[in-house]
Amino acid sequence: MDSDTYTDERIIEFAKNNLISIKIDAEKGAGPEQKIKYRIGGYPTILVLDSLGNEMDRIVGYRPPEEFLKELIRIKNGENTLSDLQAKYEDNSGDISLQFNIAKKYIDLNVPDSAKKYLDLVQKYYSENNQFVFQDLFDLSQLYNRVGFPEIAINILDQIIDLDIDSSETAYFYGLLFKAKQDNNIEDLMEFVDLTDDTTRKKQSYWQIVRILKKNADNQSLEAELYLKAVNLYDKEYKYLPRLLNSFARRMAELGLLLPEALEKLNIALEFGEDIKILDTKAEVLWKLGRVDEALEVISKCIQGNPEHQHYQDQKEKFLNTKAI
Amino acid sequence: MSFLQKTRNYYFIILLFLASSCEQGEFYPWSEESLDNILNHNLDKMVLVDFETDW
Repeated sequence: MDSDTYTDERIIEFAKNNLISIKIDAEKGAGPEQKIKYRIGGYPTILVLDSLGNEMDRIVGYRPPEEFLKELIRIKNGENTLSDLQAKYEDNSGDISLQFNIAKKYIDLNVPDSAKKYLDLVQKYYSENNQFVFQDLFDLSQLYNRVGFPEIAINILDQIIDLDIDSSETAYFYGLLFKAKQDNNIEDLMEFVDLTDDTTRKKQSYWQIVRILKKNADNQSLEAELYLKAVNLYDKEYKYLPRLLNSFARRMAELGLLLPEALEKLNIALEFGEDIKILDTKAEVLWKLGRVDEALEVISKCIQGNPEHQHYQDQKEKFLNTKAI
Repeated sequence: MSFLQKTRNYYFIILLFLASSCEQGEFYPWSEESLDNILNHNLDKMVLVDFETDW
């Protein structure tokens, strides 16, 4: 966001006229407390509060400038915010798409219990009215999974398969993904990923397997190997490639595995432009490879870019200490 | 106007142009205040809080 969205002059103009903006590092200082208070589930999460501190809405995940501006204007106008949707719901409580949208809003706000209440209403409506449309049921299954009820999601996917309304085996595939997560078992997905030629499903399968392996922490070399296979499925056209490569390299640095590959990926990421966070990872990887002088050189660039940042200073000290030994 | 004067004038115009170009590079207006302070003193603007982390 810093390198494109927050440097866009339309965003800067909007912020000057309408916002007071702060950054909170969710892992430092008062950050962890604020993170709990505002139910932050991932990064970046951007809250928009009214002048009294009440949350108007939030933007979860990266947004390019155009999209971010649209979101800010929408929130300023009070459109499609939770209070807007609830006011509409009071006038028309039988509107299924409204119930669906409120559920989605609660998911964004990270309030899964409230989201589930609305999803249950939608599911009840579909059952009572025999409304069994593939896309409706499929979307419902995805949301149940997101609010932490994979067993309901799997039931809905099984229902789709039984009704024979899925021509592309999408329900079957997502059933595999959700069951793997629920059972903490990668076997069926491993088999699937070897057989399928569908790159998108291959990617999704690898990500799910890598997440499970990371959680179980019992086969880190397989995690590293499959992480690399997943990353290799993305080409230079992929918009978030530098960030993806950086995440891969960070994980490899944590694991102490595939470090030459991690360095290679970081160099590719840096071809897209010099990014301080990628340089920070590169310094760590170089250090882990025992190339301390090069690590020091790279971390110096980070310090030059942001002299106030304690983490870079700490890294430099860590590198220097190993050099002294 | 002598050649020297003309050159000086052009030089001055170029300097002015360069100075104004530099001023155009504006930055996003991040506040250094804490959230509590902002909420205590803010009367009309919305507050944007960007949660992020290094890792």
